[in-house]
Amino acid sequence: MTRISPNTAFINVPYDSRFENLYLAFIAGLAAFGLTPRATLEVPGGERRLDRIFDLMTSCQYSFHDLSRVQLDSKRPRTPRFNMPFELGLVLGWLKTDEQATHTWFVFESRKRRLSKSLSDLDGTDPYVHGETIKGVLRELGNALVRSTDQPTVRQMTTVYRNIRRDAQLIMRDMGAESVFEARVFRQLVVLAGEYSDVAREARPPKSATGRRRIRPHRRPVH
Amino acid sequence: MPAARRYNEVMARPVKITTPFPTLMETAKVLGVSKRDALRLSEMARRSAKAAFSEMPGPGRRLTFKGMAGPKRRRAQTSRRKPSR
Repeated sequence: MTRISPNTAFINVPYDSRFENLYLAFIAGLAAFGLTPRATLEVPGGERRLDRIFDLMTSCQYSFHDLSRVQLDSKRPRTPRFNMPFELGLVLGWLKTDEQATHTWFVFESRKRRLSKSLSDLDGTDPYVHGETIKGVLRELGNALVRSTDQPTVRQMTTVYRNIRRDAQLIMRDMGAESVFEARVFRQLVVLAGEYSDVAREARPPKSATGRRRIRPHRRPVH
Repeated sequence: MPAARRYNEVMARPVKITTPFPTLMETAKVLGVSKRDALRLSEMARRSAKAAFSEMPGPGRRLTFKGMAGPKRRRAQTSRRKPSR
């Protein structure tokens, strides 16, 4: 059995250009929560790819499955995309058979009630609905996770997102990469997102003795 | 705990993360990023948080990217050069 790393989160998302911003939002949001995103991007091809994917997801404490792109693709022959529900199925199968596994999974969707149509076996499971927006992804991550200390705000997560979005171009150019869905780019973006979230946390106003953050009182204009 | 019950609990309420934030080197180690690259990325993040642009630190390269997060600067208006006779 693979050992679970406590701060890791497996992200199960589509790797297409239309999803690029939401993919970066997942990286930024999870890094702001102090988690290290992992993805199948890191797994090289080959005969044992499926085994390695399974090892990777079972080594993570959390998994985030975005099923919003389970649909027919535009390229011929038009086929539905099975990778995301398949990987979710692997996780559920693992949890069903391994009673000692302590893994938490989350399902994300673009619209309400879409999941009950596309995957009715998961009826009774409430997906986190992000509405295909960056703000939606960050908001729903905030609904799914809570930190005992330093709970990141959507504003902070947005700052991290904007920074890695900008730097992704730089990293890609530096590496000669063609897309953000490449293993080396992904790894560097995760490290960078972690650093930006550290910077954002350091920039927050210090807590007062009561444990509450000091809010500057609104100054009235002097007439 | 039965698996079905655990499923419902997972989706119903937010999960509390109690583990501390990972350090730069911990994250780099998990991902297999070299120490040198991690320090370079850290420097890049710290610098661009202060400046209005990002810069890729490292010897012999100066890749910069003006970001959308920084303040906008207006370009200086320059007079057109007269065509040489």
